[in-house]
Amino acid sequence: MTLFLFELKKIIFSRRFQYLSAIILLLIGALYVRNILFQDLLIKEQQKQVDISTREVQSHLRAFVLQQEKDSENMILSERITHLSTALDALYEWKPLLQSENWQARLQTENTFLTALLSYKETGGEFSLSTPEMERTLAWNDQLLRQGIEPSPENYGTSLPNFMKQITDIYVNIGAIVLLLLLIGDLLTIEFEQGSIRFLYTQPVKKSAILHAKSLTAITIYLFVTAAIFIFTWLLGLTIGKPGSFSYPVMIDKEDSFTFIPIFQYIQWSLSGTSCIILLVIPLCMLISLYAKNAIITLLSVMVIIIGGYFSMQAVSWSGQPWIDPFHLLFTGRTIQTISGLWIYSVPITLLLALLIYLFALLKMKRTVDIS
Amino acid sequence: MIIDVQGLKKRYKEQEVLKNITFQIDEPKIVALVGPNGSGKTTMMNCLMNLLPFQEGEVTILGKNHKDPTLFYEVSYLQDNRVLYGDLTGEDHLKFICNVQKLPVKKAKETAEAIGMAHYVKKRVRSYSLGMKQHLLLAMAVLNNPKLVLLDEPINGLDPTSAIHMRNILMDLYTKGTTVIISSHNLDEIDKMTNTIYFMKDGEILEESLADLNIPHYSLTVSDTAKAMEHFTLAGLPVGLEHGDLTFSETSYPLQTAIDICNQNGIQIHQIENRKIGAEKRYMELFESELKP
Repeated sequence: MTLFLFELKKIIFSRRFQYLSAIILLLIGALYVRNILFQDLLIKEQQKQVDISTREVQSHLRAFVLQQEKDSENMILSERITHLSTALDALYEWKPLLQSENWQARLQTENTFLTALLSYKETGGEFSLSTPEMERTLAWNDQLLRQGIEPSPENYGTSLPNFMKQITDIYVNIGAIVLLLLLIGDLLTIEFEQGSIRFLYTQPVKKSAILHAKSLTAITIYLFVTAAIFIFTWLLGLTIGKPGSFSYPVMIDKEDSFTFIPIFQYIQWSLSGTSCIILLVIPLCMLISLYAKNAIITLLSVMVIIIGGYFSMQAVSWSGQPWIDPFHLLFTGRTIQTISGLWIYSVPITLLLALLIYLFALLKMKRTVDIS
Repeated sequence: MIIDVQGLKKRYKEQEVLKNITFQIDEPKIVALVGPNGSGKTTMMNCLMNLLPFQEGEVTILGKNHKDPTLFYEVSYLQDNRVLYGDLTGEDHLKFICNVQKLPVKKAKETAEAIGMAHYVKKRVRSYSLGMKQHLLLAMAVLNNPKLVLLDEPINGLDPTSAIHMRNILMDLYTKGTTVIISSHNLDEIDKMTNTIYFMKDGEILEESLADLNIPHYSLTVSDTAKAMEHFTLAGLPVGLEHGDLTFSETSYPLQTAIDICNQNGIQIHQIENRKIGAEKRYMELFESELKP
């Protein structure tokens, strides 16, 4: 306990920890301000997209109408014209709704447009919007209408739950690992680099106790920083954001279907999955530190191993099963959004690998005598 | 037996950095390690403290193997100030040691006051001067009233006041039964602390000098050196020649005997000088080649 508290104090009172923490919180604040400032821009962007779609629909419609004058018996042409006309009417209706508070009407009109367009594409017509994209949006809108929740722009959320989801996305898709490595990546290497390990080695403590204390410190710092980030985000959203809903759907995009989970579950799963991969990163960092005894080499090696491990496992076709892939949770958010609750199958293998690496690190620590 | 070192040998690749180091200290004393840079003083201390491995030899400290971490309840090692953590206060360092060594926390404050650092012990170490850091290191080393303390160049960079203060603390420790092994380049301070000096060179202990360093040695400037040497030799009195002067130690024969020999043989004595052979003198004799440009 003494060693652990000493290690914790070293980190918390370090300038680097304090400056980094301040920078992170500032960045979160800046991100929120950016989201607020971009709201008008987003509406303009949507209007622009509607205009582009309108022009494209009009162009196709004109072409088909001309064709129909020469080939009036063509049923497919008639169908296409019907669908495109419906789509065009929906677009005309949709544009003024973009600035309206009536989000239900907006979504319903968009759905009408997309449904008409999908029907048009089924007749063999071509359009710049892809079918999967349109189906995705339709499913999304249907879910929001069903739940009675106002849509929030992805990555520009100003309501509390959506902003928290945005922060979660950054954090759980490697952000937490990068931050942790910046904060504690040199927890052990710095002792060798500056020679302070000699102080610890000349106290009546076992070497294994030093490693336990440092690992526990790293875990504690991770939990502390995670809590600080999310509490700050929550306070920010609570004080200056819209209330929103924690039931806001997050889409799980499986190969042949869409399902939804509420935001609170997504955040919960993501943080749990990320915590799991962090438990792998920490002993890996300790082990490499004992060999490299250099902060930069250690940090680079850790990143190479985990990112390399992730992409290697992805490349191997039989590793599609999460229960044999310990790096599956590296980009936890993405993983959840493709396999939903199956992410949990990666946990045992990840923890097992973490334990093995930790045992190796312990062995190496006990054998480390040369402090040169 | 406080410390027993037998045949300690250490190599870095092909180079032998410690060659068959053997010594024992069986009662509390102050032992100085003196030698030029690269002679192996720090390496030897690190080997004794299990901070560096060695290829051959045995080290027993207070009856225990030197690898036993529980030794550090009774042994302290004052190293260089890189072991300090700049973001923590002096008090943090001392309290940590108290907790690890299972000492009452109030000992941290008492020791800080005894060392004379009470007025800055609560400040962060990064704001400390070199002298303040050395004081903190000393406080950390003496906190647990060790039976053996090793100090690696503790006087480096200290002003005279701090150096005297440190010397007094070490002498006080010694009087209370602590064995002190200190390496230093400050031969003057060494002379004031101890007569037991291990001169090290190229990984070997050349000489262990003891109390005879402080017995008076005389040098006589005479009118006829050759004649005087002849008569001293005939009389069976050992005498040396240094820069044209006759030299001898009072352990061989008293000064009056030498004066009588000169007077009886008509040799005039121009000057008599009483020279104590201290650490510096002996260092110069042993490391003559190191001193030549």
